[in-house]
Amino acid sequence: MIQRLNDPKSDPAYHRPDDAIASPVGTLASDDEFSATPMTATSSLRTKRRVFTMACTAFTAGLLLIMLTTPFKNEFIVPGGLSSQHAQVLSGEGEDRCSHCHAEGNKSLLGWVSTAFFGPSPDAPTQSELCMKCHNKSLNEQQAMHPHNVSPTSLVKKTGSHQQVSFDAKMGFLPPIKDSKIACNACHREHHGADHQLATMTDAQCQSCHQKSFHSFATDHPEFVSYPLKQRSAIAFDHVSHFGKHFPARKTRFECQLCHIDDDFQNVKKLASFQQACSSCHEPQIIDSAAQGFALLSLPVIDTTALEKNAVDIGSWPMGATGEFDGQLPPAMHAMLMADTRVADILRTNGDSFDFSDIDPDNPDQVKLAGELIWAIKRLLHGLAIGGVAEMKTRLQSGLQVDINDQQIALMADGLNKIVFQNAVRRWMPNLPLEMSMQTAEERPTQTDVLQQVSTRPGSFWPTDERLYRLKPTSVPGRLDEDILAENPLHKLMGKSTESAEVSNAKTKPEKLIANDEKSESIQQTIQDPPQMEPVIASQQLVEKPVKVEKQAPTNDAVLDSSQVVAAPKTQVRPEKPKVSNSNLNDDPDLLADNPLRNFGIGQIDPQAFEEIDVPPPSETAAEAVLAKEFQYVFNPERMSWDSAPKGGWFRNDDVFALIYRPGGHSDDCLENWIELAVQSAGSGQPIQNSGLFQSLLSQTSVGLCRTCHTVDEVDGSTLTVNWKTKYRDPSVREFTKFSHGPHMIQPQLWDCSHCHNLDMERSNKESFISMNRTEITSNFLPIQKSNCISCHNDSTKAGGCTNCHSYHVGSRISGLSK
Amino acid sequence: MDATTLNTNPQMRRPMRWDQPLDPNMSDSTVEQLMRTDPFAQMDPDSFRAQTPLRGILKNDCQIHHLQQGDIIVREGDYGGSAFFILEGKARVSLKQLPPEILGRQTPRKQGWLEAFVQGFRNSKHPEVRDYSRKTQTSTEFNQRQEGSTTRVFLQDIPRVIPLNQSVSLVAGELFGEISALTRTPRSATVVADSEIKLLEIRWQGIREFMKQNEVMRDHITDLYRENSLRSHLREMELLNHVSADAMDRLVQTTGFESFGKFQWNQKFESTLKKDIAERILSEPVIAEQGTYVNGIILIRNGFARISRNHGQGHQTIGYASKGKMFGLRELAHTWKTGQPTPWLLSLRAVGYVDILRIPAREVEDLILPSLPESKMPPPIANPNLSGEKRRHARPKSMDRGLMEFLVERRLINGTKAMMIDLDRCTRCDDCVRACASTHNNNPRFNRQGPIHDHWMISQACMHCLDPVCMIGCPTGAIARDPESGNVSINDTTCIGCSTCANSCPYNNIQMVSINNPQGQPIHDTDTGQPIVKATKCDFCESHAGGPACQRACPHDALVRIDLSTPQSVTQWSQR
Amino acid sequence: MSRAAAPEFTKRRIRNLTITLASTVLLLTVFYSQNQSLGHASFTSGYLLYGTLLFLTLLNLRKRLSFLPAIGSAKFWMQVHIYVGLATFAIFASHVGWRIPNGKLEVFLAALYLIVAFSGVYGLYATRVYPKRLTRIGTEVIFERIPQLRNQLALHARQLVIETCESSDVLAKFYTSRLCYFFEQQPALAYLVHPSSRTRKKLIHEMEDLDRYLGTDQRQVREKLTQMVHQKDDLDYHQALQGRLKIWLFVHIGLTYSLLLVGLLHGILAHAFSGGPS
Repeated sequence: MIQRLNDPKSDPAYHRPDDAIASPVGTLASDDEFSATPMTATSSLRTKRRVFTMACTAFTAGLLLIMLTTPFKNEFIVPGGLSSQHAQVLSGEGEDRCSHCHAEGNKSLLGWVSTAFFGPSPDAPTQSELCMKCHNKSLNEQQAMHPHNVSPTSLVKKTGSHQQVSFDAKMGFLPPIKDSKIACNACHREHHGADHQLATMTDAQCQSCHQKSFHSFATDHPEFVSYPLKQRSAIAFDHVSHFGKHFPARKTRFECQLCHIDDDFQNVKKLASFQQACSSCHEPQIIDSAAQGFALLSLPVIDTTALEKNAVDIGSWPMGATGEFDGQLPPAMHAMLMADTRVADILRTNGDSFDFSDIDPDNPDQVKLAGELIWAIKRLLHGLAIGGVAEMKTRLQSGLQVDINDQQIALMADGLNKIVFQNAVRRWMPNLPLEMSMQTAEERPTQTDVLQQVSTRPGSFWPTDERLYRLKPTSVPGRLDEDILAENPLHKLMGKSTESAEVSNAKTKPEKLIANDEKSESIQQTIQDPPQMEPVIASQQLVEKPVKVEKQAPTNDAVLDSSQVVAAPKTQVRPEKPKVSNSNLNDDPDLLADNPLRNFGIGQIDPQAFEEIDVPPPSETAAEAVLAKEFQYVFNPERMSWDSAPKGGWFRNDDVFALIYRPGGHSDDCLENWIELAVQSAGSGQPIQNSGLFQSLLSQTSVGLCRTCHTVDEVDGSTLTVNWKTKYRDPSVREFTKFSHGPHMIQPQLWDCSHCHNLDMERSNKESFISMNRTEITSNFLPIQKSNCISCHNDSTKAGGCTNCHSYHVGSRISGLSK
Repeated sequence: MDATTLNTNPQMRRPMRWDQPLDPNMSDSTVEQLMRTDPFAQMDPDSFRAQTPLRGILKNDCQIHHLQQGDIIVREGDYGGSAFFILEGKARVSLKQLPPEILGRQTPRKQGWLEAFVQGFRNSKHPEVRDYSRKTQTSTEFNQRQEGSTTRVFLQDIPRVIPLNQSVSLVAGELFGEISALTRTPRSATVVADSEIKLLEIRWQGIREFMKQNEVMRDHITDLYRENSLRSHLREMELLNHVSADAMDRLVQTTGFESFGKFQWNQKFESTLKKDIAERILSEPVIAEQGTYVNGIILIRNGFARISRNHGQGHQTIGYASKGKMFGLRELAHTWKTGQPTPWLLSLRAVGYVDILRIPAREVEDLILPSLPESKMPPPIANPNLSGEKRRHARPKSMDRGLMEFLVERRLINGTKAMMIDLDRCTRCDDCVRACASTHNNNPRFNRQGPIHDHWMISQACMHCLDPVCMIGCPTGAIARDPESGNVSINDTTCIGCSTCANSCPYNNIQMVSINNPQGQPIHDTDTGQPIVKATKCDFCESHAGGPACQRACPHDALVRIDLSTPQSVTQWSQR
Repeated sequence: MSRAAAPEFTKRRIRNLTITLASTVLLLTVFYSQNQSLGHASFTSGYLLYGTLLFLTLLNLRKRLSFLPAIGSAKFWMQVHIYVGLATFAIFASHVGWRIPNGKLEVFLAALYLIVAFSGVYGLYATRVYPKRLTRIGTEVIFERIPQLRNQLALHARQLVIETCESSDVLAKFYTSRLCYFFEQQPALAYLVHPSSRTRKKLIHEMEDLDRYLGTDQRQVREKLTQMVHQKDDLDYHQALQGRLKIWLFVHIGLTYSLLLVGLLHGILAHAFSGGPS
C-alpha cells in the first residue's frame, strides 16, 4: 500500500496561488526543518504569464508599426495577388501603385484610421471612378455604374413589367445599389490571385437583381416569341415571295448564302451588296422605272386665244406650248415657284396637284391667274438663267422652308448650270431677256412692244446684252452652233455620242448626217470612249469655275491641253471589269459622297481616269465643251428618244419644253438627294401627302422605285429617314443579347440555316414595309425554337448560364483601355 | 487509504473519562465546601456509582466562577455544554432579545453590487490586512475585561439594557442552562450577573451523572424539559397532528429522552479513524439493533446516526440520519395492523453524539396509530425478514457506498455547506481560491486540500455544521450562527484569537492567522508584544449577494457547496 | 476507474452543440446569400468574427471580477466560451473564403487566429482528460508547493540514508550513485513532455535487488525509500500534468491581444481600401 501526499494537516496556512513561490535553494540544507532551508522567491506562473502576454502584445504592435513604415508596406498589406492583366498594367509602378485603384493608396496609417472611422474625404474619388480612368474607352462613363450601363429611367421602362415579381421571389439581400449606381467591385473582386477570372459572373449574381427564380436555360428561359426579328429590316425583302415565286421563275435556287455572307468576325451575317445580290434582276427594273425621268422644269401648254380674249398679255411663249390649257407643274418647279411671293398664294390655294388643264378658258379670273402664273414661270426661267444653281437653291429653300447645304445642292444640281438654263431660254423664249429687261414692277411689256423693239435693230433680233446671257451674238442660231462645234477641238471628243446617235438613227434623218460630216474621222478614233465622259468634263468645269471659263479666249495651248485630256480616257478605261470598281465604290459611303463619277450611276470609269481628266486647269476648251453639249441637243432631236439620252444626267426636251433628270440606275446620288429634300420638306410641317415632291419621288411607283426596297421610317413622330443602307450590328459592341454564328458552325447540322430559321410560306411581309412605322412587322420566319438551343445549351454542357447569351455591360466596346 | 504525512500509525493510550477535568485547579477543599452546601448536602454520596463518585463529579466536572455585576453569563444563541448553579448573589434573565452588538456579534448584511465592485478593487495586496484606523463595528456597549487567562464580556448598565419588566431574576440555589447543555440546543436567553455572583459551572457529563443518581435532580430537570421544550417539540411532529390534547399530555409524560455517544466526539474521532471500520462500527453505541424488538418510535433530535444492516459477518452502512429523522413507525404500524410482531429492519448507531426521543410502543399503538389517517400510514412490509436492500427500492438512486462510508467515517455528514470538488473535472486552476480571496480582501478563506474519496474531495472550507462544535467555549461569542441561514461566522473584531474554535473544529477548517496593518507589517500586542492572531474561516460569502464566490468561480463545474447531512443532495450531485 | 455516465453533462453537451451548429449554419447561409447578391459578406463576417473574439476575451475579465455578485457563474461563461469559440472556426473559414489567405498581413492574422484557436482546443482536451489522470494516481498536491514537497522528500530521504550509514554503506552508496539525483533533481524535460514510470520502476527494481545485502532494519529503510520514490514520482507527474494544464494558457492568452491588435489593423485597412458602394 503506497502512502500518498495528500493530508489536510500538511497545510500550515492558507495557500495563496498568486503569491511569489518560496522555493528552496537546492536541497542540501543542514536540518530537517523545512522552514529553515534558504529560500528564494520566484514569481508565480500567473505573473510570468501576464508578463509574457504584455511582451507579445508589445512586440506585435512594434512589428506592425515597423512594417507600415518600411518601403515594403504595400507588399505587407496587400491582401492578395492582382489578376494578371492588372498586375501587368501596374508592373513597374512603385510605392504608390495602390493609389491607382485605391484613393487611400499612398496615405499613412493615420489617414487610414480616419477614413475607417470618419469615412473617406468628400473630394476623394471612389474606387469605381478610378476604374473608369482606364476603362473609359470600353464603357460609357456616364452610364458605367448604372445597372447594365443603361440609364435608370430606360431600364425601369424596359423592366417595368417584371418589377413586381422580382423582390418577393426569393430570400436574400438586395444588391448594394446606391442612388441607382452599383460599384464595379460588386462583381469584379480583385486580389484573388493572377489566374482569378475577374469578369466571370455567376447566374446567382445575375439573380440577385433578376430574382425571378431561374435555374437553367432549359427549364426556365421563356420561349423566343419575336427573336431574332423584332423590327423590320431596313431593306424591304420578302423571303417568301423570292423563295416561292421569283427565284423559281428564273430557275435559280434560293440560297441563303447568296445574300447572307459572313463578316470578318464570322459571327454576324452581313447582307451582300446590291450589285452582288439584287442588281441582276432589279437594275433593269430601276432603269425602266426611270423612264419618265424627274422633271425640274416643264412649261405648261397655254391657251393664247383665251388669254387674248381676256386681254391678258403674257409676252412671248413658245408656239409648241400653245393650245388648250394643259400641263402640270413638276413638284420641283412648283416648289421654286412657291418662292415667288406674287404667285405663292395662288399656288398654295390650288395645292400641289395643280394642273393647267383645270383652268376654265371662259373664266376671266382663272385666265388672269393663269397669266400671273405664266409670268411667274417666266421670272423663274429668267432667274435661273441669271442665278443658275444658286438661284435654284434659294428658291427651293424659301419655297419648301428647308435649308439645303452646298454639298446637297451640288449633288442635286448634278452639273446643271446657268448656261444650261440660258440655252433653254434661248430655245424656248428668245425674247425673254428683253421682256425681263423692259418689264418694270408695275407694267409688263406687251407683245407689240417687244416686236417693235426687235424691229428697231435690223440684222439681228436677238438682243446682244452682255450682262444678260453671256453669249456671242449670232446671226443665225443654227449656224452659230455649227460654227462653234466646227472650231471646237473638243468636238472630236464629244462627237462620238453624237455619232452613236447618228448611227442609230442614220436612216431616218439623212440631212443631219450631212450637216456634220466633217466629224466622221473623229468618230472613228473615239468610238470606244464611254459616252458618259463628256458631260463629266462639262459639269465638273462649270460647277466649279464658271467665271474663268468665260474670261479665257480659245488658244492653241488650250487645244493641246484638251488633246491630252482626250488621250487619257483612251488608255485608262477598262470597261471589262466594272463590278470590281463598282463594289469598291458602293462599300464606302464616304467615297461615294463626293465621287463625281456617281453622276453616271453605274460609273464604268476607273477613278484614275477621272483624276487625270480633272487635274488640268479649267480652260476655254472646257467651256466650249459645255456649249457643245448644248448644241448637240439642239442639233440632235433624236436625243429626245430616251435610249440615246445620257444616263444619270440632265437633258432638255424641247418638244415638251422640259428640263429632265434621268436617273443613272441604282444608288443615284442626285435622286437620292432630291429624295432627302423631299423627306426633309415632308417632315417639316405640312403632312406628307400634301408634299408633291414626296409623292413624286417616294410613292411605290415613282421614278427609280427607290421606295420599293428602301423603307422610310418615321422617327419620333415628325422626322422621316430613308434607309439607304441595311443595318447590321457592330460585333465589337455588346448588346443585351449576343449571338455569334461562327462558333455554332462547328456543328455540321447547323450549316443548314433552316435548322434554326424556318420560313413561314404563308406569311408575306410586303405590307409591313410600306408603312412608316418600322415596328409594324410580320416576319417571314417562325420564331426560333428554344429546343434547338437546348440540345447543346443544357446543364450537362454547363453552357446554359445567363452570360452565355446575355452580357451585362450593354453598349460597351469589347476592347479598349486608355493609357 | 488516507494517512498522515510520511509517518506510520503512532501508538497512544486509550483515553479515559476525567482525563481532562473542567477546571484543573479545583481544590479538594472547595469540593468539601460544596459538599456542605445544598443541594449536594442532601445527596447521598453512596447512591453514586463507584467509578463516578459525587466528589469526583464535583472535582472534575465542575468549576467555580466569581463574576462582577454586568458580566454576561450565557448569551442567547450560544452553544454550551454547561449548566450554571448560583451559589451566591443574583442573576438576571432577559426575556427580550438583546441587540447583537451588545452580545459582540456582527449582523450579516448583504453588499450592494457597486459596493462589491469598489471593495473588489480596494483589496489590499498584503495578506490578512486589518485596518483599525477605520471605524469598527463594535458598539460602545460591548466591553471586555481580562480576568486571568479568560476574557469576560460585561454590560455597563443593566437596567437600561435589560428593563426589569422584561426580565426574570434568579437567586442563589437556582440552576439554569441545563436544558441547552443536555440537548445541545442554543441558549434560549441571555443571563447577566445582577450583582457580585458566585457560580458553579457543571458540564453536561456531570449533570448526566446527577440525573442518573439523584431523582430530585432528575425530576427537576426532566420536568423542566418536558414542560419547556418537549411539548413544543412533539407538537411540531406532523405525525402527531391528529392526536387529542390529553393524548398529547400523556405523550409528553411518557416520552423518554436518551443521549448516546460522546458529547465531545470531535476530540476523539481523529484517533478512532485509525481503527478498522468494522471495529469502529461496533464501537459505536447502538440505538436500535436490527432484529430486536421495537420498543417505540425513535426520533433523532441531535447528532447523527448511522443506518446499517447486517451484511454477511459485518455491518453495512446504508445511510445516515440527522436531526428530525424518525424510525420504527413502519415496524410498529405493521405489527399493529397484522398483529405479528415485527423486529427492527435495520440498526441505528450513534455517530459521535446522538440525542433521541423515544415514544414507547404502547402509546404509539394506543394513541398515535388509531388517529393516523390511512394516507399517512407507512407502506406495509412485504416480508419482515427482507433485507433493507430490497426495502429501499422505492427510494431514488442511492449514493455510492464507498462515498457514504467516507462521509460518515469522516463525520462529514455534519456539514450543511461543505465544499465538494469533483477531481475528475477540477483542473487545479485555483480560480476558486482566487475568487475567495478577491471577495475577502485578498485573503483566501479555505484550502483546496482535504480528505479525498475516489474522485471526490471535501476541501478545507467551513462546512457550517449542523452541530457546530467550534462554537463551544468561545469566550466572547465572536463565533456565532445565524439563525436563518445557519451560517457560522466569526466576528473578526471581537475575536481575541484564543483559537478555541480552531482547535475544536474536527475538520481543521478554521485557520488562525496573524494580522497585518494596511502597510503589510504584522500587528503586535501592545503589552505582550506577541503578534495578534485571529480565527478565520469561510463565511459562505454571506455578505455577498451572489452567494459563495468559489462555486460561481469554478469554470469547469467541478466545485459545489453542498449539504452533506442529507444523502439525497450528495447522491444527486455525485451522479449528475 | 470507470465512472457512471454523467447524464447531465451529456445532455448539456448535446444541447449546446445543437444550438451552436444551428446558429453556425444560419450564419453561413446569411453570408452566402449576401455574397450571392453582390454584397460583401466579408464585412459582416469580419465584424462578427472580431466581435466574437472580443466577447471570448470577456471570460478572462469575468475571472478577474469574480468578486462581483451578478455576473453569472464562471461555469456558464466557460460553456459559452467553448461553443462560441468553436463557432468562430466556421465564421473564420467563411471570412477567409475557405482558402488560405494570400496576403502577408492576412496570413499573419490567420496564423495568429489559428494558433490561439487550436491552443484553445488543446486546452479543452487537456482540461477534460488530464484531471482524471491526476486523480487516478491518488496524490493531490498544489502545483506551487511541489518544489517544497520535493525538497522535503529529498531531505527526509537523506536523513534516512545517513542514519543507516553506521551499519553498512550499501544504501548510502546506492543513494549517492542513483537516488540523490532522482530526489533532488527537477524532472527531466523529456519526462515533462511525456511522463512515464520507467525511471521509477527501474529504481525500485534496483532497490529491491539490494535487499539481499541489507539487514532487516535497513530493509525497512529501503521500503520507506521505495515509497518515497513513488511519492517523488507522483510529484513529478503532477508537475508535468498540472504544468500542461497551465502552460497552454501562455499561448492561448498570450497571443490573444496580438490577434486583436492585428485584427484591428486588418479591419481599418479593409475599410480604408474598400471600394465603397459606387
